[in-house]
Amino acid sequence: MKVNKNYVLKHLLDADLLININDEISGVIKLNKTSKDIYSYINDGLNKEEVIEKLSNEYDIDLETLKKDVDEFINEMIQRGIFINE
Amino acid sequence: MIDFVIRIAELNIGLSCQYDYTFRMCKDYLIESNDVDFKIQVSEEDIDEYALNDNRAYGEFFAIDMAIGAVLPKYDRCLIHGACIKYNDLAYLFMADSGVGKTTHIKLWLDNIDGVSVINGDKPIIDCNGYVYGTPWSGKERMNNNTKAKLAGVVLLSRSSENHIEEIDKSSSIKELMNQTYVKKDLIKSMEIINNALVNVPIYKMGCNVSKQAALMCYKKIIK
Repeated sequence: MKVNKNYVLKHLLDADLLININDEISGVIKLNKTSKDIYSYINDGLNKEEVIEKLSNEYDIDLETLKKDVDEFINEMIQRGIFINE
Repeated sequence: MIDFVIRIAELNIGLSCQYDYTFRMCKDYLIESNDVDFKIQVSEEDIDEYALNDNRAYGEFFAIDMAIGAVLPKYDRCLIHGACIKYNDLAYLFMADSGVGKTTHIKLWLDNIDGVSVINGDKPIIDCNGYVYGTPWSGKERMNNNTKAKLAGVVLLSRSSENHIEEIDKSSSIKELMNQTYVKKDLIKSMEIINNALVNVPIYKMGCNVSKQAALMCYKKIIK
């Protein structure tokens, strides 16, 4: 999986934001802490299993819930065209 | 063509106009200088796009503002949509979609609170250091002054029968803030400018009616 290079991650106005470089305000997506971590790890080249492993070390959350959260976020990002399956 | 130079937001802007309407509207901002930061001349198509009821002179005036707005991010400034007042040398900005009642609300301040003046009633400019500047473009009421002040509060305004005002997180007001910022291109740059302008500036959400009490409530909350 890779990330769409038309989006950049910026911390602005006290929020982590994915901003479309093609200048569409409707394309601005606010990420929570976990989503931002998932995005950053995928951007670093980690696969889904590696992301889950990383997060399970960082967050005190049961594995099933974590897997579900990661799946949901990744699916949403794929639907929005921000993550691209290779 | 009428050629002249205006100074707004500490930039010298050269304008070339077909109609003298723009020249007249800009009279408080004219300067004698050949040294310009940039020049603006709009096309026939731009004039037609913004002409209201076939008023091409107005269309040219409006199109010039849009063209300036498109250039401003390069100079660390943004054109914004809001009504801005000055009190104790500080600026307070009211933002809402057109027709909600920004002008009506700032008139309540002017009528009921001593020491309040207008910076701009509709389209001020903000810079990355948080200064708000008056411009000749100020809506149908033409409330504007060639002045500037440091921003000290932003109020996102909506109509409500009951008056209420609360401070809100910046992160929950991003959509409203950016919807009232003129962005043609340079979205990221524009968001960075707004971000920098709003460092240490509180944001409030206010629902209000048209009453003296609405202005006084807001005053008590936002003036420190």
